[in-house]
Formats: sequence, C-alpha cells, structure tokens
Amino acid sequence: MSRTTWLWILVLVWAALNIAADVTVGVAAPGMTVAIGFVGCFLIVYFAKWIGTTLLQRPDGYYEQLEGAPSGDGADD
Amino acid sequence: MIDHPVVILLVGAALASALPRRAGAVVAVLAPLVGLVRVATLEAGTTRTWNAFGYDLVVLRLDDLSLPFAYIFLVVTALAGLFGARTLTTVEQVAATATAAFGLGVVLAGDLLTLFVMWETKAVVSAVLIAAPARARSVRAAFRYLLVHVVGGSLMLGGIVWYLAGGGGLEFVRFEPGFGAYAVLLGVLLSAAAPPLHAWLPDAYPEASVAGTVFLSIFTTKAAVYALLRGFGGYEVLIAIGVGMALYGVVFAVLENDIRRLLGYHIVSQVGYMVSAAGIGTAAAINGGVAHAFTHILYKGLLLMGAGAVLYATGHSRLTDLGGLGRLLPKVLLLYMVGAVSISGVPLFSGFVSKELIVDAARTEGLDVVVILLKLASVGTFVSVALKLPWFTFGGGPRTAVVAPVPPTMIAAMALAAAANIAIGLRPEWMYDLMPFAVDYRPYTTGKLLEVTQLLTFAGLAFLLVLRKLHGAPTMTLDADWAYRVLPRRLLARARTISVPTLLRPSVSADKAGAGLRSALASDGTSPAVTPTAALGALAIGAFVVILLIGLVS
Repeated sequence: MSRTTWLWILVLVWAALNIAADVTVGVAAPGMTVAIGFVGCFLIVYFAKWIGTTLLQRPDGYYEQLEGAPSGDGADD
Repeated sequence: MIDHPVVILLVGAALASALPRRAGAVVAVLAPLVGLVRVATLEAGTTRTWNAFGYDLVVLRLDDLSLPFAYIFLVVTALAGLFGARTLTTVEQVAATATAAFGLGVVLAGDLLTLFVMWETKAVVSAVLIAAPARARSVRAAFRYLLVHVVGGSLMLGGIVWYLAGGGGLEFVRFEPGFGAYAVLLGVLLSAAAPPLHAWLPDAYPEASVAGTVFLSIFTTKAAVYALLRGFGGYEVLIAIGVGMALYGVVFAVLENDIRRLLGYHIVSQVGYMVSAAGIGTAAAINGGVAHAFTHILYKGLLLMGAGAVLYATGHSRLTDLGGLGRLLPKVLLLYMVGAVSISGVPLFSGFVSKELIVDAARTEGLDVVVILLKLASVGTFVSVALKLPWFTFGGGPRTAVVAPVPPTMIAAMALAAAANIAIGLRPEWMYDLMPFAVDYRPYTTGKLLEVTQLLTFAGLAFLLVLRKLHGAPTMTLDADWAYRVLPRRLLARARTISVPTLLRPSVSADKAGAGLRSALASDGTSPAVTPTAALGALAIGAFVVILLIGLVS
C-alpha cells in the first residue's frame, strides 16, 4: 500500500478512537477534529490551486505591465 | 493636554523630524514607552473633553475596552521602533510615530467626530509610511491605499452625519441599526480588510520598508476591530463576514509567492476571527475579540519582523527566490517559528489562549458550523504560516546568499516579541486580567489540548502529502483590486471603441474634407480627440453618483 493509503487508514482509525472516547467517557475531543485537520488541509490546498489555476493566477508583474510600472519584489532596504 | 498620550506621540514625531536619524531612532522607541507609562498612570474611566465647533468632544476616554488596545499598540510600536532602529529613515520615523499617535487616538476617542478625525489622519500618515521607500511601486500602492481609505472615510463620515441627523448621539457607543449605522459599518469593514474591500492590505503593506510594514500591521485593521467591538457588537451579519474573511485569507495565502503578501493575507484571516467575535457579541466573544487582537498584534508583528529580516538579509521576498536560510539565519528562523506557532494556536503560545476564547464563545452560542469553519481556517493558517513559508524559505538547499547581516536591534526586537508571545501562552491570566469583562475560561483542559494537538498534527501529516502543490510559482494572484486596477482600463478601452464611430458619424456628413482625420481616429482608438469623450463620460457618471449620495444624505 502507498504512503497516502496508510495515512488515510491512520486518520480513520484515529478518528474512530476519538469518537469512541467521546461517546464512552465523554472526553471532549471529537473525531471530527482529526477530519478537519487532515481533510481540511487537502480541501484548502486543492481548492486554492484549482481556483488559482483556472481563474486568478497571472504571470508575475501582471499589474505592473498593465500600468507601465517597473516590477520587483519589494527589496528596498 | 500635553500629557494626553496622543500628544506625547505627536511630540515624539515632531522631535524625530528635527533630530538626526540616529537620535530619531531613539525617539521612535522612547515616545511610545513614555506614552505607555502615561496610559498606565491614568485611572480606568478617565475622560477628557475639548470644546470645539460648539461640541464637547471627548478626546480621551480610557475604559476597559480601550485600555488593552492602548497597551498593546504602544508596546508593539516600541518593538517596531527597535526593529527599525537601523533602517528607518527620518520620514519613516515621523510617519510611523504619527501613525501610532492617530491609531491610539482612534481607541481613545470618546465621540464620533474625534473618531473620524483620528481615523482619517491615520490613513494619511500611513500612506506616507507606505510611500516612504520612494520606489514607483511604493508610491503607487500608497496612492491606492489613500484612495481606498478616503472612500472608506467618506462612507464613515456620511454614515455619522446620517446617524446624527436621525437622532443618534455623538458619543461613540454601540450604534442603533439603521442606514447611517450601516454606512459607518461599511467604512469600518473596509479598514478591517473584509473581502471584497480588503485588497488594499496585501497590495500596500508589502510595499513599505521592512520596518514600515510592521508598524502598519499594528494599527489599521485592529483600530477597525476596536470600532466593531465597541460600535457593532451583536450585529449578526458580522459572524458570516468574519468567517468568510478567515477562510478567504487562508485560500489566497496558499497561492501567494511573496512572503510579506502571504502574511498580509493572514492578517485578513485572523481579523476574521475578531470580526466574528464582534458579531457574536456576548461578553465572552467580546473578550475573545479583544484578546485575539492583543495577541495578533504581537505575533503578527513578530512574523512580519521575521519576513522583514529575511528581506533585509537577502534582498528577496519571493519563495521562488528563497531557500536554505535556516543555516544562514538560525536566530531569525527560531524567532519566526515562535510567531508561526502562536498564530497557529499551538498550546503554550499566545494565539492558543485567545483564538480558543472566540471558538468557545461560538460553541456556547450553538454556532457549530462557525466553530468548524474557524477550525478549518486554523488548519489553513498552520499549513501556510508554520509549514509552507518556513519550509520553502528556511528549508532545502541554499538558493540565495545573505548579503547583509541582520542587525542586533532587529534580533532583539524579535526576541522581545517572542518572549511576550510565550509569556502570554504560559500565563494567559496576565492578558485575561486586562479584558473588558471577567474571563471565566480555562484554556488548558485535557479535551482542548487533545483537540488542538490532533487538529494540527493531522494537518501537518496532510501537508506532507500536498507538499508538491505548495511550491511557490513566479505568479501573482488577481484579487478584488482587479476592480480598480484593471476594470477601469478595460471599460475605458471599451468606451473608446464605442465612442469613435459615435463621434465620427456626424462629422462624416458634415465635413467630408476631414476624411484623413477620421481615418486616423478610426485606425487607433488612442487619439487624444477620443479619450476626453470617454473620460468626460466617466466623470459625468461619477458626478452623478456623488450628487445622488449628497442628495440622499441631505
């Protein structure tokens, strides 16, 4: 199995243990947290990349080229 | 009046302008410290009025809400002054100290007119601070910053006038909902960098000098947060706006290649937590909003100092130009990471004890979706600020050389800011004692520690899997500033293509001898004869909108 599959298994088992702990002994650490951490990271990164590549990203200095101003990275000091 | 904390800072700015640069650097550190001592010696509840224009203006009101803001503004201003001791020019020393004065003036203002004057003057001197490096990019960004804030200020002033005309009082307290209040709210949200009114922030802040950016990060958005907490507590629309900000900032930070712009987007995100807190509006949420503003000023200052130190040392701020700096700048890495774990809400650091106050307030009010979305934003923050940025800046093989050693004053300022972040994380009651309401909250419980530790651990694991997606790329990301940087050009170009035949049609029948001129006009749409038509059209529309607004207000 690949590293990704192993990680997914780890996440699911961990989440299940958390939910079990939440249900049985009332520890306020729901498995949802693990899911938010793991799945959330994927969601944010993939969504950002998708919207970036399809809609928002332009070559560096795009505005400056339109405005006829020199581009740079703010190195001034 | 000379002992008013704002006046003390203004005297400091005047002194800095008259003294040599080195002496001015000492003043930039001492003036906020003297102001801090003055604030500390004022009794809570102190007010001072000044009769002007027939009004009794409350130019000083120090109460439980303004006190924590005043303290943290002054402390971090002194740290920023120390950070920039070797780099700030005289103009920057003056502009930075004046920005601090008017930022402090906002939180000490007891009436709406004083608030407005302080608010707008702060915007003007902040623009000077942005333009101070005198590069074409800085000046243009400063101009855009000023333009946007003048619009925000106009909204605020119009709203205040409308509010007063409708029977509202001059005292700056919670606004009764109505048209005037919503106009003021819009102006305040612009300064809080709420999307789509936020693009000025990632546009302007990175264009200031390395220390100038640190000063800027202290005041504008946090003064707006203060105004929201005092004037708009319990406006439920702010909950959704705040959550939107928290997520918007982290999504754009993922795309960002410039480290200071990336941190700029995280200001938007973190301020979103505070805006949500204002929207929830309970005592616990207001405490959370104040506490998070307090810690945010500290850790964001530290993070921008770290990014500034990298820029100072290497001359680069793009991830694609950086790498392997951990071995060359180990102290900067260590101190930056204190700020990074603080903003991520790692236990034992400042962000944990403030961010969880807001999340807990949302949970108490049964806002489960808000809780989940704020946690999601936390994940994005951790991934961008604590993993992506240091990974590609300090990790890997060296891609750039250190061309200038980081001055000891920069390291000292970062060390003090880091110590403060750790101290608040370890002893949150020191900060909780400053909150406007009694804090009945224990951050260090088994459940909360488990929850946050797991959230961040599993986000870290996922980061390893998406690492290849996070490599910087030599791109920029279009944002809402497209609406005023690109759209008007496109509309003008469009207007030209429309106006050329319209302009020419009568002349075709009237003057056949003008065929040469017509063909010249038709061949390129940039003829001076055409441009004024479009510009006048735009001017007429603008004038109509202004007249309409004036008519509405009067």
